Amino acid sequence: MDKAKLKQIFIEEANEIIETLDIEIINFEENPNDKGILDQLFRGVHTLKGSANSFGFGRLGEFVHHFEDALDYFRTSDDEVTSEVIDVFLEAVDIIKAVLEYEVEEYEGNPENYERCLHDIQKILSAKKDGLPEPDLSAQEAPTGDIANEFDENPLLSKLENEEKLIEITLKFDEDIYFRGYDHGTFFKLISEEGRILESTWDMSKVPDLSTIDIQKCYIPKITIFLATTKEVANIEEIFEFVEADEFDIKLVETPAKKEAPQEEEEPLTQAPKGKTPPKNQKKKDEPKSFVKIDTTKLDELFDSVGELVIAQNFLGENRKISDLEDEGVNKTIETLSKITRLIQNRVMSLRMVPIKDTFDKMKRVVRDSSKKVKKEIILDVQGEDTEIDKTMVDKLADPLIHLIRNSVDHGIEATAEDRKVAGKSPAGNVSLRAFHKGGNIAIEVSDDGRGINRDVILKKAIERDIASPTEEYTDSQVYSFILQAGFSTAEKISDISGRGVGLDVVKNFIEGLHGKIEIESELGKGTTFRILLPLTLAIIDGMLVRSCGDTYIIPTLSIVESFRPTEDILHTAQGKGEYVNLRDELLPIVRLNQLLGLSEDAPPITEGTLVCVENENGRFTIFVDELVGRQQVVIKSLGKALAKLKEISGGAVMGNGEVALILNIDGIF
Amino acid sequence: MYIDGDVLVISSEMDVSDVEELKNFIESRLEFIEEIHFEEEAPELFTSSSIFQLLFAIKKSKPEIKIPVIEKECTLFKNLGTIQWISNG
Repeated sequence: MDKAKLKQIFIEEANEIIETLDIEIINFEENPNDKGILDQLFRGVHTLKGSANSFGFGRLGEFVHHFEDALDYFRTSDDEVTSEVIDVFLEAVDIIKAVLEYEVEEYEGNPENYERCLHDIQKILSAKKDGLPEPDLSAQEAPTGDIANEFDENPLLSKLENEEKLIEITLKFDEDIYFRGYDHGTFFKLISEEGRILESTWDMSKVPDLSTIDIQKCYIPKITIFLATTKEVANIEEIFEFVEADEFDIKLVETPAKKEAPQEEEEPLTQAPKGKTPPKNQKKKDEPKSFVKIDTTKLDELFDSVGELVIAQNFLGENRKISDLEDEGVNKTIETLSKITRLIQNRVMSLRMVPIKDTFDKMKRVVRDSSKKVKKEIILDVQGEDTEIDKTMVDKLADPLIHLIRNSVDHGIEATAEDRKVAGKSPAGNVSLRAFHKGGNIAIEVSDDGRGINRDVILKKAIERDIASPTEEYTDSQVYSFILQAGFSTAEKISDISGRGVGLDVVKNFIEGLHGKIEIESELGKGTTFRILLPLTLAIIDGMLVRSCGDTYIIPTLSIVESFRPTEDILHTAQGKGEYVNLRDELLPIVRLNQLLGLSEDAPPITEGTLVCVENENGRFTIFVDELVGRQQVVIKSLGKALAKLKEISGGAVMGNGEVALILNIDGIF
Repeated sequence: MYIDGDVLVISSEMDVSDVEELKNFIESRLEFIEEIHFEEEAPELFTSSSIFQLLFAIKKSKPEIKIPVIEKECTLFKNLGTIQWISNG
């Protein structure tokens, strides 16, 4: 391997180490008694120092050496790591990032604050003690976590009677399980005939709300069942002979006596805490995972190819000549091919999915820094950090989230603790960051319990700036969406971290670039929530297929509120303003898709077609289509330059029959 | 299935198509329903898991509604031991 390649590897690894440093420092501040975090930090920095010096990156090596000394001091002493020391550590991480860039780009000199920060580190050390011992890495390289021989027993084992064994059955059925004629209920019945079901755990986190749920689709990705039985695993396996091998997993939960004795002393068996950790954790420990680094562009290419495979497979499945054969063998083969194709697609898709945890972890530093800057005490609550999201989106989400968090800290939370006390709140402001699945999409919320958005002030400013009309009635969400407009800021004082009016519009543009949208909810005096809704992946969208004048179009379900067939009595025409429909006392404009796209005028009467109610930042409106075809996940294909200019269209997708359907851009329609 | 005041009483023996019908029934009446429970006191089993999906979807759309069977661990079913639910909300 040549030196340039080695250097590239070093840079990648150095960046990975540096990425985790400030997260670990913040974690340590939250858990000051956990010296293990300092050990981990120390090991990372030690590795960085060694590699930097071997590549002749002297400035980086020297700086990291002093930082390492400071970490070593605190990890081996009982001295308290004060908030001031944490500040210096965090600044040191910033300097390390900057120095690495100087080294890689071969800039001369040192980055700003290099000497001062180095001086601060040395000052901390000299104030603490004279003459530091040499860092003793070897003492730390013993994996401390493995010294304690944990052995946790499944508490259900104590419920076994006579000759019974405990068997763990995991059901991981695909979403088309009902369509295929199976049901969890059937399997529960068959399993219960083989023994006693003691417990089952159902993952219901993917179930959407009532308006979006499709009852024919299974939203339960996993159910774990514990069965007490005298039967063997092989007997239980027979129940599942007609389902795919990857849709279930059966294993014996071994009793401690049957497990292989630990190599070291056996005493920990009796001392270990019981019934805390499920056996699967034990499995994780026993079977270390191995990883391969893959260039994400290769994943994208693979994903594209699988997309083509899905299209080709659909084409085959919908081919009349083949279906007319009425050959059971051919049909069965096509069905199997369809299943395997979908399995490959799901697996390739999962390769792109990563937990949002790393991005959320970075936000801890953002909250800390911004709260210090505006001198407010802020408590950050993070939820749903295991939610998985497309890797491409994770990379692009950090900036919008940073801005929203800063916005909450700076403008959302009251200016002083006294103001909060007067409002009957705790002195410390609360900001929460939450990720969860919502109707087939990912929702990320940044909430604060601050003063809320003053609707009247926003509307007044919007009217002053000609963004809003003084005569028009606006809903709350329409008013709040004004703050996402470029140049709109109501902050009385421009602060160092936000309030420049050049942020929220950038956030909005970012999110829209990811095919997502932002919703704002606020209650004056109670707080504000910014909700980012994103598709699960950039490559696929969940769409409603509609038909107009013989052509198929796709409306992203993220924008759809509901659909209905109108009756004459709720249809109105306002002179010069077009058609409206009265939907539960709300007058919604009607956009006829055939007229919008200049298609034929040969559309059915409006009472025989369907109105799809959609929502964008300007509010709700309806799109008139001939009929709804169905909901489908489609692989997005970009359009050529000519079609890309059409504001009503955001992309295209190839359907199973080979037909190309255009994806409507709801923001560009009305 | 029947409605007793603002309480909707459902059966554990509904299959997917019954649940689909139930969904359509509930959608337009959700605001009037305050509680949902099973009519059987201790059913042995359930017919379709889609009923539980529907209950979670309802709870998501109307968090204040009372659905005891999904609100904590469920020991209602005679042959199913304890059911633990993992949900986001």
